[in-house]
Amino acid sequence: MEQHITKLSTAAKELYDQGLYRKALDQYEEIVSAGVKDTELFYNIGNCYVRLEEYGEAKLYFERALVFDPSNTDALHNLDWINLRLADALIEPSQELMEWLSELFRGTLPEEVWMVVGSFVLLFSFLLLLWKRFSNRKINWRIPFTTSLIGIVLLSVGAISRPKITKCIVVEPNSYGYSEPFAGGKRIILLSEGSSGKIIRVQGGWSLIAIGDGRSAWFESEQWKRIYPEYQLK
Amino acid sequence: MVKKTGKYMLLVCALLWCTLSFGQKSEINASSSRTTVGLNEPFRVTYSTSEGTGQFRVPKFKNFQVVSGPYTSQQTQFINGSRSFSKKMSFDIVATKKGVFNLATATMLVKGRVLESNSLKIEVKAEALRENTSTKKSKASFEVEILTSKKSVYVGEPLVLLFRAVLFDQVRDLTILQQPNFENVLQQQLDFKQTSKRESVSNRTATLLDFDKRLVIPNKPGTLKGQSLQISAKVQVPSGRRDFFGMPMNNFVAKVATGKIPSVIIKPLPSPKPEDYSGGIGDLNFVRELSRKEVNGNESITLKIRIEGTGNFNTLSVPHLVEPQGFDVYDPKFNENIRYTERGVRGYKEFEYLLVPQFKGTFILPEMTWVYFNTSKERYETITASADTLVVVGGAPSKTHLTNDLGVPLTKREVNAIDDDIRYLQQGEHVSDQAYDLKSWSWTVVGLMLLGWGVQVIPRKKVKGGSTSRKKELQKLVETAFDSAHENRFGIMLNSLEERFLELGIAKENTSLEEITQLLGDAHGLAVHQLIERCQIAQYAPSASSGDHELLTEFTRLWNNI
Repeated sequence: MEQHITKLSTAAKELYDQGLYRKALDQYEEIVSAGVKDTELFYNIGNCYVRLEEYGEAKLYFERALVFDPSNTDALHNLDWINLRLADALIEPSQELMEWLSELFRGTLPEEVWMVVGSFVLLFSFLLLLWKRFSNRKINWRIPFTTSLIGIVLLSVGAISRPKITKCIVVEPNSYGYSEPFAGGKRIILLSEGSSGKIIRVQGGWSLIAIGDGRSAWFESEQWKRIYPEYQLK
Repeated sequence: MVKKTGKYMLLVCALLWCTLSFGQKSEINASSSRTTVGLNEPFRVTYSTSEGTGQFRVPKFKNFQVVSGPYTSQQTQFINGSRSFSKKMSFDIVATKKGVFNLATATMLVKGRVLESNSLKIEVKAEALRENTSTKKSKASFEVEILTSKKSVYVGEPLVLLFRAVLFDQVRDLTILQQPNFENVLQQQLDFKQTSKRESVSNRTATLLDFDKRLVIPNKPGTLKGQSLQISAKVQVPSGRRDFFGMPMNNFVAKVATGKIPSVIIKPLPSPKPEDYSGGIGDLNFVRELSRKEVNGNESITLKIRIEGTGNFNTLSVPHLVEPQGFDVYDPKFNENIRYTERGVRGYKEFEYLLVPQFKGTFILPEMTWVYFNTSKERYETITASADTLVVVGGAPSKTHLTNDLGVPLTKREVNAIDDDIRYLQQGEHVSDQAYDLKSWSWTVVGLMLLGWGVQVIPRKKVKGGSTSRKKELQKLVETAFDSAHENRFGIMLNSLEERFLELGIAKENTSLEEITQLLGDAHGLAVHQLIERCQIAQYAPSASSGDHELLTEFTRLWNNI
């Protein structure tokens, strides 16, 4: 499996170097469908979309790359590069406290590391407790209590690090925002490719999305993609 | 006398009145040789007056065009002592439109008075209905035609129009009345010397007179048609009279001929146009010239960017320099040399830049490309000026002369971004996300931790087995001491007994007979207590003891039951 993924990755890079960006993208998509999700992969997909001048999709993938590594400087640079070329002068939606904490923790250590370290500390606590109970040697109860507490905190940080992002991006050339969740509603906003918003509610193929300046409107869900988790808005 | 004087006065007044009345009859008379004419059929309009002073002010002949004229004449006659004067001004004109038109009146300012002519009504029909014999005779005396160098051209591709008169008879005063006036076309008269040749045209010998050449560059696709060239000439025709010597006399009559331009298709440039297409059309070349590639710091480089060849120089622009880093680039000087020839617009346009090095080093003059449409090959062509390396050596530029103590230049080069682009692909090991299930693992260890705390509340049982090994250790210690006849063997035995009692909850100071019998029973307790006493005695008086072997045997027997 790993060999297959490496082969696909190498082929994708070669295709990219030859300027065959669509074919390179297909290879990268195949890696995604194999269950791989990491910052390099999403970053490379974003690059393919930039070369294909599909800036909405490109922005989406650079944002996804940053979900896995908020300190990926290449992804940050390319995201700035795209934002300069987007049509809409729109404020990015603000981050909620938990999203900010999540990004902060992920930026410090990957989610998996928090979880693994926390689990090992808890396992150590469990062993200490067994020893305390079954050994003649006396162990102060404060020691397993402290390690249990540290383990719980680390696991909680790991859980918070798990990205749950409500930000989504327009991936079509443009998207009309309606006052009501059907095409007969009044058109109140027109957003261009690459504009971002925050999902408030999803209802039958329509999503109520708030944009950075505080306005909100119903948009056709298929014209938007959520950054992470990456399932289609329904 | 008074009566005579009155009669003279009346006579003078009568004469004065007559003079004034006669003066008021001064007028301008307008007359036309024809009142019904055909299109392009010349006719003569004459204005005459008997007024000797003043100048005619001729009207603008709206819807008509002057073929020749004005012809002026004056006549003074003395008949029976009376003087008469007349002045005439004539024009040969042709109608340019069908319809009925009133020719505007001519005026003349005479002694502060404005004299005005009568108006003439002229009916213009499509073709001439009646022609006099002389006109008929001159009907096919000359023709005019426009020859085009190509039948179809691309937008921006030059086309040459040749104006040719075909003269069957002797003509004079050849004049262009109307020339083609195209929309969305650049038209330029070419330097051209009139040429003529004799040829047979329609079984008649004719003189072909090429009298003008125009260069036409269309700006929009479509068809070049409909426009015509109209010329007039005076054609010699017999007057039917003979002169004093009996020779036939000729008259020259005005004649107009019209030639239409053949249809020329103007094709749009092929699509799709390259993104960086410059707008150049023709047979062109793009040149970037450097006066030198290696330069001293205090010298400069002259760089020329030039478009040369044949093409649409009137609309194309020379690309600006992609500036190299490390040089001051001054505003360019523009040079141009363009000639309009039969092959099109030839010459060059160029920008001349002066590059002054700022710093020592090797600098790249970036590659430049220029895309134009080649009309002969009918395709877009890209000309590339490849990247050059410019080396600044020796005699350091003034800006870097000043250095600090560390030899670092005081004036630093401002580092500007040449261009902006995204960054390259990242390489890394891709790991499948499905390999781990951290969530269930985390819950498992949390459960274990809770289990560990749960175990703590289970009551702890007394475990005796834990002291067994120590008991054996103590027994072995005692036996070893006795076997090796250790000098403190009785003390070791006593300590072992006391430690054992300590484990069983009897402190050293409490090893009384009562305590021991309470723990071990009367008989066994008494025996143990005696063993302790014997050990104490043997420790302080070894000679008084009954013997090591017996004591050890007794110890071993009792030890197993303690």
